[in-house]
Amino acid sequence: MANQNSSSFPGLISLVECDEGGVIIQSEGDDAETLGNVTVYFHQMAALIGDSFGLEGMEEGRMFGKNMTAVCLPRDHSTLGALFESKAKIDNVLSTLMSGNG
Amino acid sequence: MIERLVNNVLDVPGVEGLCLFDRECNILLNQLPDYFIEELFDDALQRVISLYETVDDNFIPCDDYLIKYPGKWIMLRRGKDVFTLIITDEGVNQVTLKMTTNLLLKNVRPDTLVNPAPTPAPAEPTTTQNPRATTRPPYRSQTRAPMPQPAGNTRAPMSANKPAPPKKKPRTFRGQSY
Repeated sequence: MANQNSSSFPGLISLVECDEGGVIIQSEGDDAETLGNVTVYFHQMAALIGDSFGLEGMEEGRMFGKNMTAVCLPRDHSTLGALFESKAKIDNVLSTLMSGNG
Repeated sequence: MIERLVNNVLDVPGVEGLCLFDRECNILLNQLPDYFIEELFDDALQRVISLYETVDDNFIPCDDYLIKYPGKWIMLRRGKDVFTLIITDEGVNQVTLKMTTNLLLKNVRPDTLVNPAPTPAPAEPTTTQNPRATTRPPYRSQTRAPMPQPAGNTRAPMSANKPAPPKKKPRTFRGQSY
C-alpha cells in the first residue's frame, strides 16, 4: 500500500492500514485516524455478529453513508480501510489496490 | 401488504431469510431459516444496534451495512423505526435486494408488526398457480409469525357455499414465473 496514493484512484478519499491492535501502519488522505478506528471497530463487531450465526472469517465489509462508503478489508495481520465517495467505482479501485499489493 | 413486501424480499434469488427488529432488539418478524436459533442471535441484534450507534456517533451516519463472509452475506438496513437483517448467498443481486427492502422499510412500522392481524386461512389455489411455493425451503415453520403459508395439506378446506376465490397472480421475477 505504500506505493499507492489515494489521489491516484478516482473517488477514493482516504486509505488506512491498521494492525490488529488498531495502530495505524500507514495512511493516506483525510482523517485517516478516524477511518482507522472505525475500520478496526467494524471488523471486530462484524466478527461477533457473524459468530452468532455461525459465520466466520469476514472477507469484506461495507458501510454505506449518504455521500460516502467505507470499506473494511481484513488481511493476514492487518485491516485495510478505505473511504470512497458514494459514486466511486469501488470494486474497480479495490481490485487495483489488491493487485498492486501482490 | 406487509406480507407481500416481506415475500418480495424473500423471493429475491439468493436471499436465505430476513429478520425485522426494533431499536430495543425486539424481534418483530423472523423469517430466517430454522437453523438460526432465535435465542442464540439475540446477542447479534444488540451488537447490530451498537454498531449503528457507535458508527453514527464517531464516524458518518450509515443506514446500511454489508458484511461478506465466505459463501454468505449479511445485509443490515435501517428504516425509520425498524431494522432489517438479511442473510443471503454471496453474489445476491444487491440492486434488486435494495429495491425490495426500500419498499419494506418505507411501509412497515413496529406497531404494525408486533400484533399483526391474524390472517384467515386463505383459499389458496393449488401449487400449479404458485409454483414457487413448493420450492420454498421447508424451514418456514407454521409456528412462526402469522404469515400465510404456501399451499399445503394444512389449509382449511373451502366451504362449498363460499364463492371461488380470485385467481392469484403467479409470482414472477424478471419476466419468468416461478
